[in-house]
Amino acid sequence: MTSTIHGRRAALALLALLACAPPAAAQVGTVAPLPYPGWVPADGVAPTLSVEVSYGHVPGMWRYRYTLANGAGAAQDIWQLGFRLGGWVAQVGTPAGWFPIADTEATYDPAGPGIPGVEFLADIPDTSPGDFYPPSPHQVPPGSSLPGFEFHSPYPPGYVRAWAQGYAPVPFPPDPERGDTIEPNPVPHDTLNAQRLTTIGPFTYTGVVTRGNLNVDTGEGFLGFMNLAVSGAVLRAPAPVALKLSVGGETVFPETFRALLNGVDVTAQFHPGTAGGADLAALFALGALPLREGDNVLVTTIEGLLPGTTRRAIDEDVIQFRVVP
Amino acid sequence: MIPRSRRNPIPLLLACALAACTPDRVAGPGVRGPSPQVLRTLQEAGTPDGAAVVLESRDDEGAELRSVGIAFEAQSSPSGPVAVTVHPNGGYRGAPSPRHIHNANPTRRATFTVTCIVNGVPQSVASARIDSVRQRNYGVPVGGHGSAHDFSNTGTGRPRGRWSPDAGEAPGGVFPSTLTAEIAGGDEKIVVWWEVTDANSPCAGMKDSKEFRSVVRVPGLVPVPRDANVALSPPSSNHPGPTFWYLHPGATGPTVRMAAAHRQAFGTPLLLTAAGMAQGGINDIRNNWNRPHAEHRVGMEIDVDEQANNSMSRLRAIAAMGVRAGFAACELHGEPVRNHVHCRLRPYR
Repeated sequence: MTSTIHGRRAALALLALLACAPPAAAQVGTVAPLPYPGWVPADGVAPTLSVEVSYGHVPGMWRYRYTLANGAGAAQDIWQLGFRLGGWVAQVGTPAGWFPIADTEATYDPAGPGIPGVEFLADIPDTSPGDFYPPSPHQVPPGSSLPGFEFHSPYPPGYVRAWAQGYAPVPFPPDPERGDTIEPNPVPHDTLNAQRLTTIGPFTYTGVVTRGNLNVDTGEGFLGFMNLAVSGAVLRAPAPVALKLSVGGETVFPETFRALLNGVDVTAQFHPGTAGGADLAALFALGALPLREGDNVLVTTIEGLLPGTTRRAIDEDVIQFRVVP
Repeated sequence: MIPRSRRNPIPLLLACALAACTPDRVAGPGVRGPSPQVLRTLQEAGTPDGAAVVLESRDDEGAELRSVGIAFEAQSSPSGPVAVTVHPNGGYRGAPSPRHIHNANPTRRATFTVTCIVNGVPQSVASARIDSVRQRNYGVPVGGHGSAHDFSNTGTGRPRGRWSPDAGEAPGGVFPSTLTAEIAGGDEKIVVWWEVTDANSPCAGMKDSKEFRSVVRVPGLVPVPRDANVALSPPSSNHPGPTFWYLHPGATGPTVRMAAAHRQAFGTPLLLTAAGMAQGGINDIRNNWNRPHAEHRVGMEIDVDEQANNSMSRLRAIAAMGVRAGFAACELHGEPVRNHVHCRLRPYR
């Protein structure tokens, strides 16, 4: 089977793998050769994340609050939750018994090595009953959920990746310092040895998809859409909308910005983003009017000065997009 | 330009020698005349100033100088520039192991070329024999390993590379061989002994030896960044000074990033207890050229002390910080208990 597993140990390892094998949707999939005898994947979880996003609890900050659930069909408890984020965070909150590792303004470096974002670890006892990490009394068993994962960020909401890892009493890898002579194969990275999902989190928008479609004069650049296209876009709920003001350097008057979603004034739901990214952003959830599943219509207006003149004009755009649950 | 013949009286002396004169200075039964082979060689060389060369190269008694030489790629002496640089092998002593090599090549093919040097002019030989080629330690300490180590050239001393073949016939004076490096980084010297077996060579039967400098090294390692969030454990007399705080350039960024996360989470710097040696190779904390710490060879691994009584929760958090910071994996190591986090930049295979 592999060069590192032989005989009875190989059989035991295979049995252990099969016993803990997650459903067909497992993230890790077939691992051959095994990293070392006794290793089992930690992707036997069925995570879902629900998110609440609000603005201004801390001045200038978006607040992201998550509830982590583990499906009843999961084979493992969840003991680790990670986010790859497009911005730094502050004031991280955790459920009782969880420990955060977070990139703040001082450490966030999207161009640097590693994974920028936040990770939550369920606290474990300080001592182990064996040569493996002990389980945490705070991990999330199948069929249950845990609220309280929270952070604040100046970065507006966008789609981000997350992953949840399960717990198994996986023996520590062979260690030459202990005299182990077996040579382990690579262990899958934490982000692969888990179930991955997409959620909403701090995000850096970098480009304007369209400037809209109604204006025929030079005021079209007063407002740009950073994640919606004229020809239609599909968003998974909750749906973020990110806007850029003064795309071409025009003088605009932000206080004149208005937004109607399906005929309902949603101007107040737009809040500032970060410099260099989205200037205004909002997050619309299904079940809370006016967003609806399927087709939606967003109408925006904003006033500005036509380039090279002192003449005031209005940039009005109508954008259609589709929302799926 | 002053003609060479005007610079000294050598042409005159040469003329006397060739005419069997016996000038005062070179007279006597001990004087040997140029051998017919030497003269033929010089004639064939067609050197316009050849006669002067002959006498200039004579020894004090007027005899022509002959020696055997050996060419080995970039020429060097033990104290000179490096002739050979080779990556340390990845295994334990004498047993290479692919997972530690990280795609480096710990072998080096090379060719020794034996020549006959007559009056400073190398001449090829039809045959020679390499009596032995050996790697020897060049100075102690070396490679960042302190005086507690055994630097002898014996089986228990510092591991040195091996040539294969390390002896044999050299047709045309050419002897190809391959150096396989050992696990320890640092300076070594190549010592080669040879003999000219070409009966028609002026150097027939002559033997000599020569040393070249070679270095076992992981090239390009850089010092661990001097960062306020990174603390280094005190040096030991066995690995003195800063020579064991080196990393692969790709490992510096993750180390600094991991240290920032550590500072943020625990308020203390990341305490490194091991990295790589300045020249790479085995980082043997027990001074015996062997495990443990056999993995810290190419600057891609660091060890981190958790500073809190071997707390499992803290060790796990530090390991997670390392992976988030860009290390491929961070594991718990330690004997008899798992007491530190070992992070590696790349998977082993």
